[in-house]
Amino acid sequence: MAIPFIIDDSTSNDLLYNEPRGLVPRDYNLYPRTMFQSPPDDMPLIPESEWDARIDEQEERESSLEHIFNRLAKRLNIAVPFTHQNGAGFCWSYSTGNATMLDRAARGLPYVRLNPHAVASIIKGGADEGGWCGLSAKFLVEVGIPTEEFWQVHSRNLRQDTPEMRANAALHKLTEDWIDLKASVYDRNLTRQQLATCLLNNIPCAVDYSEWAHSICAGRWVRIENGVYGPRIMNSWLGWGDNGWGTINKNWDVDSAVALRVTGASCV
Amino acid sequence: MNFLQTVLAMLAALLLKDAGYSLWQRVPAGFDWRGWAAWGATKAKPVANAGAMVLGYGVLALVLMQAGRGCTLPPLPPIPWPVPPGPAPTPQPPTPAPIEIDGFAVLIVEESGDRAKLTIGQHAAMFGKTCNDYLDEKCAADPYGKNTKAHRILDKDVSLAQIGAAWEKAMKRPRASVPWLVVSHPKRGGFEGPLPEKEEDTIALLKKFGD
Repeated sequence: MAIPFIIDDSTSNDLLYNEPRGLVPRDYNLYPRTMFQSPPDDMPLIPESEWDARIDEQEERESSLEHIFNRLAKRLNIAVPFTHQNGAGFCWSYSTGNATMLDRAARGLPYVRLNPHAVASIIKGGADEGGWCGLSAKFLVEVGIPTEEFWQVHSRNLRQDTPEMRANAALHKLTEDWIDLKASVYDRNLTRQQLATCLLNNIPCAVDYSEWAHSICAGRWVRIENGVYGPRIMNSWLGWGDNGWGTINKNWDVDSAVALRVTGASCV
Repeated sequence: MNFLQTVLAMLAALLLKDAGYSLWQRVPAGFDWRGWAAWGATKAKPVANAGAMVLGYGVLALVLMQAGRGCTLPPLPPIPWPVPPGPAPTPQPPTPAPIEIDGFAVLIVEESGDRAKLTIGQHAAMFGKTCNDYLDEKCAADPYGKNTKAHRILDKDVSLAQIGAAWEKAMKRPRASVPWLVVSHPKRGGFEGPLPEKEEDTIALLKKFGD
């Protein structure tokens, strides 16, 4: 088995900062935590003592989102099954868009290529500007996300914002979510436990890292070495990591995190 | 004497035999048969009890024999003659197929917020390679999606817009709990029930309809 791609202190900056990213950290004054749904206080959390067993189980039975993603790519013979931002500063929209596609894959829904460029372009009025994952998630809740058939790939042309496009986007709405994993500064540890719980349960999450100025889609919780764990992410950069995947082993804080529990189950 | 009378007579004979045997068992060793012949000369209490028992059984036997007199049994049904083989009857599926798709189809209905409560076996059945490879191989082509096989995992509260009529109907069927498994084959019927806790049990269940 090939050694998985891991981002740690030895990773060169070329692999981390050369591509455009686009994270603008969330302004909690403008966007307070109460604006989104949060996990219930009694959300069952998987304790750290169970992580090893669950991780081993996922590896043995090949049941993680990464395994599902790889099976889908193989079955459909798709070289690049995820979407990539192509130099635009729209990572904050691709993180939620790719998470939606991962959720669809896990549910066995027909493979459709969603277009996060449409979401970011509409929110930013056609400008190439940064944002944070909760912003695109809000749009996914209210409007949805169209497929590439209804919005040209990597285009920011707002003339494509038609009723037909909106109708298609509505089929891929985020209908149930935990928008805010508890990312407040005073309780980082809870965020980590919530993130681990979601990923071990195959609930994809969009995660913002301010140190990286980047938003990515986390799809799996892995053991890096004994007692050291981290998220395995699907980046939105073409030709990066293990077919888009890499493991984060950095002491980065999660600035904001969105769990995407249920998205529209339409066939188109 | 008809059949019932014969049975009752046999029952009475058995009771008498039983009574006689009880009497014999109660005779003490060295019993004075001569003294016994003159009734009451012996002090052996069991003999006196046995005598009463013989009398009781006898009366009961007579009553039973009397009760059976005149009774008749319904005639025995005629023995059917062997029928020459004809066209085989069409086997009926055990239950109607719950998903209206022309082929093997599977639906798991879940509450995504409760995934942490799934057993390891349920998680593996939903997302693991073994189960998914089997479903990819055996399920019918999904009529609503390109390059898709007819197996889905849907949240119980998911929007049903453009989900496909067959899936929509299947989602509206009654459920007792989640995670809920719906297995369907138009010729073999279907299964609807809780998703088994062990992956092996789920696969065995799927194979009943998919193989």
